[in-house]
Amino acid sequence: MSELTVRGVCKSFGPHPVLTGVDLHVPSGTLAAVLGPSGCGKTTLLRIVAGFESPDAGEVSIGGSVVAGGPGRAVPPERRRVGIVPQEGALFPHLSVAGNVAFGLGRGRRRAARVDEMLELVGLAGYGPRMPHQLSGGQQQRVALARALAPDPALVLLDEPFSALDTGLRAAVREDVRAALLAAGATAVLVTHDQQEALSMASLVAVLRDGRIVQAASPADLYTVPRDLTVGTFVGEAVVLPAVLRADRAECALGALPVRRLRRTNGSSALDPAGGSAAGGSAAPAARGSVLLRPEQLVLGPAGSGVSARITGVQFFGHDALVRLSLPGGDSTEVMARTLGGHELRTDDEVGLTVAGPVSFFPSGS
Amino acid sequence: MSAAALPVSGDECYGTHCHSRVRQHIPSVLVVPAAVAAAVALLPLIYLAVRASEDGLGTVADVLLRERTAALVLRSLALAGTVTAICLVVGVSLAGLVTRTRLPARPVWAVLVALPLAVPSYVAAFTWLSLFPRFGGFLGATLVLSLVSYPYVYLPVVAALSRIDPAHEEVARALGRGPLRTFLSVTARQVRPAAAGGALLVALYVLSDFGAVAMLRYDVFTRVIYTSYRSSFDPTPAAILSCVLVAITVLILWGEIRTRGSRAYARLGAGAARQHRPAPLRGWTAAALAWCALVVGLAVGVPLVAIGYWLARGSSAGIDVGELASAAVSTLAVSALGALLTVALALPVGALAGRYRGRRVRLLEQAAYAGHALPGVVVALSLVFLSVRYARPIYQEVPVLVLAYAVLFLPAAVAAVRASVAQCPPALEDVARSLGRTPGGVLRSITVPLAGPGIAAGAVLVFLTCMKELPATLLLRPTGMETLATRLWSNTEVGAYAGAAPFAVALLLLAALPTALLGHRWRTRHE
Repeated sequence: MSELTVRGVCKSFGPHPVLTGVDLHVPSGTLAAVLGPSGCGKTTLLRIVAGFESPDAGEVSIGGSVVAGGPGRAVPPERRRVGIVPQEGALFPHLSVAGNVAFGLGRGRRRAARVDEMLELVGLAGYGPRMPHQLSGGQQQRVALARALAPDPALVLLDEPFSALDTGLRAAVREDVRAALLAAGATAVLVTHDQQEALSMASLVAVLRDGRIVQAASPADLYTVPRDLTVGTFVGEAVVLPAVLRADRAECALGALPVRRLRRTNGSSALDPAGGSAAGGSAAPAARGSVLLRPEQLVLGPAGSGVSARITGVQFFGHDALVRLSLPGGDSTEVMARTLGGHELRTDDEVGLTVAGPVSFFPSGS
Repeated sequence: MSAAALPVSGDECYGTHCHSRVRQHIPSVLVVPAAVAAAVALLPLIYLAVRASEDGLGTVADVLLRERTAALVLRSLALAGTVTAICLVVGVSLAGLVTRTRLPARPVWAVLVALPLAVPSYVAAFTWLSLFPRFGGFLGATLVLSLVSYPYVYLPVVAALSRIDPAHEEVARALGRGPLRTFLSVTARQVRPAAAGGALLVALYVLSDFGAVAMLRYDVFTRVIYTSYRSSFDPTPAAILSCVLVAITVLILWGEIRTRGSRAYARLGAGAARQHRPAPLRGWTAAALAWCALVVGLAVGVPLVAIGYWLARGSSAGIDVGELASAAVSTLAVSALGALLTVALALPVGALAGRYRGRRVRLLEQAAYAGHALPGVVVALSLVFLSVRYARPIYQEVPVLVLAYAVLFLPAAVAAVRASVAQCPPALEDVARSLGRTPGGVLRSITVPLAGPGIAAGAVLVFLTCMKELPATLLLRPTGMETLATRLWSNTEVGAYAGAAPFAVALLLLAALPTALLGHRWRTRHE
């Protein structure tokens, strides 16, 4: 398995620019997710890495050697050692499960053993003689993964591999695929529009927007320290309130909240324990903007504690609940809180709100 | 089709095979040969128009305004209309009996009733004529053409009837409608598009049919065009009449496309529909059986009896085996060439249509379908004109005949290639490439195994259709060459029915083959 590096990749289809300078680095053995809304160019990026499209500009290298966009001729897909798992598996309908998995293997002694090994890896030992149409959607998807992993590729690309599965099945197959990829020690890139899928599966999540990667970070960093408001609201449920930044605190309807400091390095962001400047140093004058916090940061207490609020609706899920709250004041601001349990909450109850942990502040116009 | 015309954006779409189809630029390796195929398909039509207008608009007006021409149009439309009406009644009633009632021996009837599809019109005409030599004219042509073409209505209506979810009818019954009102207000509504599509096919078939009307001496377009060309030194009237006939068939095709476009899904929602519970016929059983027996008897029984009779009479006099063998050999040879050329032309068009979208692809595909609107007589005539003027050395030689087959049967071949290519989405080829196969290797291990069988079946279908073709073969065959169809024709023309019978048998067997073959393919695919 080897690392993947994409540098400044651009691609247009006719007059439509799809990718406008994508930079992405996936270290060896990492499961990365490229997350973006429909139509942002995720699949195009995958097809460029796999070799089915060539970039207009920029460079792709796998394991240190340039495969596209370099001075030499682009390496054709069959010589890139890149395994792909397409959306609906795309198993060869005329070949058995074993035939599918063996497709990329040479005619060696180890062939049958490797097929068995791969089927065992994806939890389908003994399914070799079956035909693809005899498998469920989840099983087909796992065979597709076994087929991609069998020739021991340098890199595995997964293109929305779970979108065709129904919700119940999706979580289980997702976990199986993740386990198989980790067991194989594969470097893998998963493309998805589902933020939950990206955050739960990958150890590196790259957000693709308007043809470029706007942020690449660990799931936790991406969730807690989004680079901008759009990324912040895209990767999870968010409470966004207008605020004024003074010193290290953002003043909003929920009070003066401590702001998380962060440092940015072109395109990616990381927590900066030493403190940084993005959130404004103490010397900076007051700035207008917005604060972003997660619903689970809002803690409900008895009336009188913290900021008083009135419950306007409760969405109860069993293990937790989403509570809609109206804050006092003329403009009757509404916020969402996520709370464990929550059976005792009733509409029109008065509660006290406190905020746990620091929040993110984004100055207006950024 | 309108979705295909949308401008292609760089957007992703979800589905196995839309990415590459939308994004890849269309390779000229496909476009250039596809354009050649489209040009070949359109050539006769264009040249016909040129040839018809060559003598000036005066001549055109002169021919069009003749009283004879008006009568000809009326006769053709009357025949097409009458046959279509009869086919609707026969086809829909038989479909209803076979799919929805407790008709005794239903499965047997279901097969018997579809058999006439395998009887070429001129073979049917020959059998009736051989039994009743004075048979002919409007009534004769109507009877024979109805008997060979009602399956065009029967088959789609059977399919539609078995597709309908019984829940619809149950809902109607539960809402207080009786069985008959339910049938009329729910069932018939859902069957109507299928019946209408079938009816238009019948009308098209009748207008382009040459063999039956020619043998039964009823003067509609195809026969008049043929005799006018054969009997006069001036081919212009034949060309003008051909243009009029093409205009009518194009109108009908347009109608067919419109009914197809507005056809709604018979069933929404997931899961397999339940089986229908057949209705008891009670006192009507005898009448229903008699009706089925009458149709099958006239459509299948009469030809079989006639051929058996003449075979028995003829074998006492001795069948000329040499004549039969030489006709069979030349039939096989020209048909094989025809199938090869047709599929070769269809491959790029079908591959484009199965994989790519956009205006260019649509135009090329539609051009290749031109043969669908062109009766055999018309294609033959325009190729006669073309070869006489521009390719004298191959006039009445095999290449022109093979070209005519290609123009006529390109639609069937393109449809087969298109469907086969669609069996093999590009995603599969991408996966194979990523697993280390070269483009050639992908072709060998994925594309050919997946698309090959369907294309081969299409080639066999075209081959068998070429063997049955009559008018183009009559007009374009090399002097002295006889095929099974032309032997049957010439023997019938001189009243040598016993001599014609062996050729009729050979043609019936040939015509039955694709039906059996395609039926088998369909069954194995759905097991």
